[in-house]
Amino acid sequence: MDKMITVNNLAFSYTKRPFVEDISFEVGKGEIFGLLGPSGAGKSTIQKILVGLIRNYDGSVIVDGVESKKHTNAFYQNIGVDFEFPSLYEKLTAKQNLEFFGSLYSNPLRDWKELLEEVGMLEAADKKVSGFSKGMKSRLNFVKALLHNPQILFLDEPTSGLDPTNARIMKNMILKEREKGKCIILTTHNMEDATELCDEVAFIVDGHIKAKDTPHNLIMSRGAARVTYSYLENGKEQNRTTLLSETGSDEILHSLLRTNQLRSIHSSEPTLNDIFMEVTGRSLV
Amino acid sequence: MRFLHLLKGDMKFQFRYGIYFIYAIILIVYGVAIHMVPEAWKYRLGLILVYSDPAALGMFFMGALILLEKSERALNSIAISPVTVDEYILSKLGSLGLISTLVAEIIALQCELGNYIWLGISVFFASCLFSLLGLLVGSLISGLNQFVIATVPCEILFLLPPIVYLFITPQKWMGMHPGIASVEVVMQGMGGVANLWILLLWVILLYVVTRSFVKNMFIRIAI
Repeated sequence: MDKMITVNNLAFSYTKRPFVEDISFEVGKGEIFGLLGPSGAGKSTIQKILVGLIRNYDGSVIVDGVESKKHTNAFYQNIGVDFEFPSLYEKLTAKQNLEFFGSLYSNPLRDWKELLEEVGMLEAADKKVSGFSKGMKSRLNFVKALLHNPQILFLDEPTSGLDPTNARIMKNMILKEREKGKCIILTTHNMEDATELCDEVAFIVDGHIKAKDTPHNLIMSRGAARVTYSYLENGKEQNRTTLLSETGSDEILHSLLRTNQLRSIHSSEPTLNDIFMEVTGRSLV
Repeated sequence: MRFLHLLKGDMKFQFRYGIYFIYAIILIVYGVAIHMVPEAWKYRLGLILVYSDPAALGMFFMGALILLEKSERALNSIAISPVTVDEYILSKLGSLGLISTLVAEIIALQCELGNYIWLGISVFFASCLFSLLGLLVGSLISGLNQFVIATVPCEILFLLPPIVYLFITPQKWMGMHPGIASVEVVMQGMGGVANLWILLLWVILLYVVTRSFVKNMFIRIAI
């Protein structure tokens, strides 16, 4: 698979103390790579380096075939960024914003009407952004990032502030972009989104990658589904937890099942957040 | 082509955010004032108004525009677009310079200042100078109050001397000041071409300094 982003031994520091160090990963066409980590972990710095805003880094960062620190401004023709917070002119309409930001690129633009329609905002095209809800601004921001048809997309909390229906629409659009071969870097605190969307994720803590794999592999390698059940013993409720893979040898559970004495039973699978906590000792959600 | 789009966009924002409306109000108020003062005062008043308002207002308008772009985060999107720092600055200078020059010419006509072509060139560059000051200060701060305080030294250093200059005995060395150089161009027309070079030199110098500040601002805010 063609690699759109190749990062090798990236290191950078704002002061004498290293801020990000020993960062290596690759993202190919049609892949979604998740950068997960708490605030201040170094995600934004890594993104700034990837989009060529920070040039005095060590190591190698090849983005779209160009060493990031040596890029020209044409480099941005192929990059789309969906910021976590709306970055729009509030006194202009949705259409005027898209027309203006689109005019800054020389790429053939996508049809803004189609994109607005897809996010359910075509009817709001001629309304001022200042009157939009947070969710509408987020959707317009996303459309703005797609407008010049970039091959590399940086999405920062793309579903933040959206209701479940619109979050679903947005996630479907992201998956569609992946199908088209776009290379996508997703930064999120939402572990469900990361699990669903990402082909690979990296846990970033204190400027280092603590773990990097597919969400499925991370979940399977670090944790296992568990079964928790409760029953009465001497009039007191007892709870027990056993691994799903070991239920066959759990004599107490078998006995309770045979005698219909179970009060409750439920299974739970580890989430990416559980794995994140296990690996890094911190929580994201 | 991109620069023209940017320029057009800037003019549209300035219109939407009421900057042209403020210029229109200024024109009306000054028009009334000019017709009320005695004939003998008109020339000096015209010079002060042309220099202190259409040109110098650029500093405040530029500051307001930058603060708005920062607060609405529109600047973030520009910072990661193909727009270069030079295009960004020049488009802002061009759009504010054009409206300043137009307003200055109308005031100059009312005061019959003469030397209209030189006046236009001088006001345009003076506007660039003040807009660059506004951009420089605006790139460093994020609040309107901070901006107002931070521009006070700029006003004292750049705005006051040319006004005082009109009421004292002129000395040649004073022409090194960009504001005085600008006023001299207006007064002398072709004869003040050396002053125009001085003004231009100041603009270039300030441009180089402001450029590095804007570049840093792009890096700070982009993501």
